[in-house]
Amino acid sequence: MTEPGPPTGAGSPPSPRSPTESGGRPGAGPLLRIVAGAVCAGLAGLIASAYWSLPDVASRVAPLVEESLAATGVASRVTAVLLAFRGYDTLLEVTVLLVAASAVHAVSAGENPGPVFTRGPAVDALLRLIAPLGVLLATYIVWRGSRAAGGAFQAGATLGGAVIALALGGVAVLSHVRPAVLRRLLVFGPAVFLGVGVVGLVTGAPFLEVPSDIGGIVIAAIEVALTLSIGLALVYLLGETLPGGLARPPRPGASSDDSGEVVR
Amino acid sequence: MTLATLYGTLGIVLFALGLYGAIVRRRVLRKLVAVNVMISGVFLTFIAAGSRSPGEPDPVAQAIVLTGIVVTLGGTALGLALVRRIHALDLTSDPLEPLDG
Repeated sequence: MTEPGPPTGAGSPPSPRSPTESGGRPGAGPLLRIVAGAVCAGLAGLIASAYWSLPDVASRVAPLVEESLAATGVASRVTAVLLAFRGYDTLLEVTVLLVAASAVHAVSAGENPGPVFTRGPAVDALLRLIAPLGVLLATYIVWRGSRAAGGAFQAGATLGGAVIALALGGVAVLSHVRPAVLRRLLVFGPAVFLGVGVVGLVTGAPFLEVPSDIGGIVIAAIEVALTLSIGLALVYLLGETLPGGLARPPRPGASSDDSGEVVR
Repeated sequence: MTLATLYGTLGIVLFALGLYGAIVRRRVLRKLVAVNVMISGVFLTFIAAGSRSPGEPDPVAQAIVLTGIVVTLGGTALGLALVRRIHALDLTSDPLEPLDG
C-alpha cells in the first residue's frame, strides 16, 4: 500500500494486503513497512557515507601477504591466505560446514519425495554430460588453485553440484556407496587438515604451520582431501533440502544391501 | 566515481534491501532469501573495499569473503532444512505457501 523510502522500495513491489492475512498471523502493516523502510534507508545512507569517506590508502595486509608468500610454498595469494596465514579460519569454516551437514542430515531424515526433473532426451543428454564434466572441472580447479584463483571450495562446489544435478534427474549416484563410507569421507578433509596441524605441533612448529619446503605439496594434499569432503558436505546440505533424497538410498532401511539399480 | 565505489555502494543497497525484506516479509522462506541478499551485499562491499587501491585486489578480503560464503551456505541449507521440517510437522499455518508475503 504505502511506499517505503526510495532506496528500499525497488525490491519490494507494493502489494495490497490486510495486516492479518492467511491464518490470522499478523503481517507487515503499512506502519511497519514505513518504519522499516525508513530505518533501512537511513542505515544504508549511514554505511554509504562511511564507505565513501574511507581514506584512499593501499591495503596494509596485501604487501605483507606478498612478502611472506615465498615462505608458504604456495603461488596463489588467496590460497596462501586461506590455508597458510589464516589456516585457523579455514579449519573452523570446514568444521562449520561439517556441523551444518550433520544437522541437516539429522533434521531431514527419512524424507524422499523423488526426482524433480522429468526424464527425456534433453535431460538425459545433460545428465550424461554433467558427471564427467563436473569431475574434470573440479580436478582442474583444485589443480589451478595452487597457482591462481581456484581451490578446494570452488572445486568442491563443482563436484557437489554435479552430484546434486544428477540426483535431481533421479540418478542417486551416492546411494551405491555405503552410508558409513560417506560419513567417513565427510570428515576426511577436516581430519587431514587437523592431522597436518597436529603433526606440526609434534615436530615443534606452531599449530597448523607447514614447513615451506614441503608446504606446496602438503597444502595441495589438504586441498584435494578438502575438495572431496566439501563436495560431499554440499550434497548433504542441499541434497537433503531439495526433493530427491540425494545422499541416501531411495528407501530408508535399504542402506547397506546395495540394491543396485537406482536410476528410475 | 570509481568502480570500487560503485560496487561498494551497490553492496550497501543490497544490504538495505535484504534487511527491509527480512523485517517486512512474513514467510520464513522469504526471510531466509532476504537474509541471503543482505549477506551478498556485505560480501560485495567487503570485496570492493579491498580493491579500492590500484593493483591487485586485497587477497585477505577475498579469502575472508570466501570463508563467509561457505559459512552462509551452511547456514542457509540448515535454515532450509528447518523450514522443510516445520512444514512437514505443520507447526505453523504454512511457511512454504508460495503467496506474496
